[in-house]
Amino acid sequence: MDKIFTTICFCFLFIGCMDVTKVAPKVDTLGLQKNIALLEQGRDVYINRCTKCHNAVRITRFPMKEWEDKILPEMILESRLAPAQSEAVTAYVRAVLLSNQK
Amino acid sequence: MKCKKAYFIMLRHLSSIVLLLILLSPKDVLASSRSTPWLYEPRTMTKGEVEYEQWITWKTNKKSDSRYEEFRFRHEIEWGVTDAFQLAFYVADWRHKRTSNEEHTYFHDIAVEAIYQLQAPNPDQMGVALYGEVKYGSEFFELEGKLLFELELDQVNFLYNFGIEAEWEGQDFDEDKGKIENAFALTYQPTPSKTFGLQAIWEVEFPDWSEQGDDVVYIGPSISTQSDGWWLAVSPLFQVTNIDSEPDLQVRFLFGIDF
Repeated sequence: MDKIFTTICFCFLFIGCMDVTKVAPKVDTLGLQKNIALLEQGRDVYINRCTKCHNAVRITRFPMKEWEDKILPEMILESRLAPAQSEAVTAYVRAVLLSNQK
Repeated sequence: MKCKKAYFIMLRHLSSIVLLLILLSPKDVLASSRSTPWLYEPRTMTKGEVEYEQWITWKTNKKSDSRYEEFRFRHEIEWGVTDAFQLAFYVADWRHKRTSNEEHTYFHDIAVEAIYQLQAPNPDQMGVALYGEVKYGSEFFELEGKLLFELELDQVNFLYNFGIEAEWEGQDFDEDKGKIENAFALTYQPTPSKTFGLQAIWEVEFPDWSEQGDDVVYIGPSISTQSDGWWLAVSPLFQVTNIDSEPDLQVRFLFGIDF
């Protein structure tokens, strides 16, 4: 019983240490003034379409070049996104990465 | 002894297949998949998607019967009706069972399963879905309902399934029993195409719905990989309770192919 209790405490401690807001930051935390509607749409696509098959990946885990050259083209094709959705999600990923560099 | 030998041979084969596929699978390309063979996730297929899913479950090491060994096979077609609703048809569930008294292969049932997603799991919200299943076979009828939950925390996910099952057997369907299942999983996704997990299942049976019967708990690891158009998952479960009439080891191997 003690072991189960310790395991549960460890799990909660582990969860507490995670900052889920950094996985796909909300648009209003990026400090941007322009294209807010487009970025909101991009975040919506990111957290709702990508998670059909897997967890939403923390955007800052990969550099801009990898997102633009590999991940986004492949995933847009795989998820069969419409051109407007592709444009929005690309803009959102780019905005998160740029905001992280500041 | 024979059973143990078969178990090690099967485990070795399964591990080799899984490792080979993990090594060969391209990175970060995906299909709709299951990462936890003993639990359902509230993620549903996209509209119009069709998938063939093959299940193989091996059960062995029953204290009450040293010769017991069972293989269960399921051939399933899944279809994304809408982005939040999917249907599955178990074309056939059949089994090969060996006990001290007999050894036979037989058809068990066909079934229809539906999953309705109330909320997709994402970094903002916990995923929730409703699951329903109807099974029908020779002298067998079963209804099953589940609540599926998934909490997504970056690369770690928590899953919980609560299930309730009613089963009728016999010539006049007069032997009935119920089952309540609580299933938990903790998974880690180092890349979007690979998932490692730990699963625990706690089942309580109610023969005739009158009194509580066996109370059995299983725990085991899981591993899954997905690639462009296919995925596979494998998980052994070990009994941590001491119910002689239940197998001590169950191994489930699943693979799916997208169309």
